[in-house]
Amino acid sequence: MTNTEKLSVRRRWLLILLGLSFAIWTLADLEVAEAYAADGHGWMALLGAAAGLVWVAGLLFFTFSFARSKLDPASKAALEDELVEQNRKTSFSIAYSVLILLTVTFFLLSRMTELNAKDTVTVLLTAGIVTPMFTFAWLEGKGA
Amino acid sequence: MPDHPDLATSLKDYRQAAGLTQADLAAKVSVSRKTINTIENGVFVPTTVLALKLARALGCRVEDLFSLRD
Repeated sequence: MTNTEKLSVRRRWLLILLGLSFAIWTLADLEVAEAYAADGHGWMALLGAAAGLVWVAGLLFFTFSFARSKLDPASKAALEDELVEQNRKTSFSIAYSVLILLTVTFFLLSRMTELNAKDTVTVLLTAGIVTPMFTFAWLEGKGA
Repeated sequence: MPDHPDLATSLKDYRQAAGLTQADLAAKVSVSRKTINTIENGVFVPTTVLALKLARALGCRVEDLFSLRD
């Protein structure tokens, strides 16, 4: 495996870790999750807090790991080539579709029942941030 | 699934004739080995610039590497 491929694999796994930790951190803050945690399941709150720490630490590590100045020119070029650019665009496009789908779903649900605004926004935020990460990681893994 | 159903590629043939691995060719044109692999499999359509770089690296024309399916 070339150095570039190792960096690409590392990037994929970091994105998956970041996506998971962000999702757990934010979704643990949903009212339904808080109610569950308050009902003798305090480990949920701890899990959320731990996931938040992993998110912050992971984000810092990710940022500094792939800081442009640290990469040699060949790795830099290969890690940001045309295929990566297309995968990035595709992942944002899929994320947009997911967000639209969720928004329409919440819109329709709001016509039938009372929706918690905080939870609704939290789910949308999580989907918007996590979907491109997972999608990009998946696309980068295809044909590897 | 191919990125474009009308595009045929002979990149692999020319690359092998030049005695290059996918990694060698990738390094010559500053892309990843996976990019070369996906182009050879018809999964990814390169930009004009990359197609020209590939042709130059392999000492042939772009039309030798890529063509429209009949």
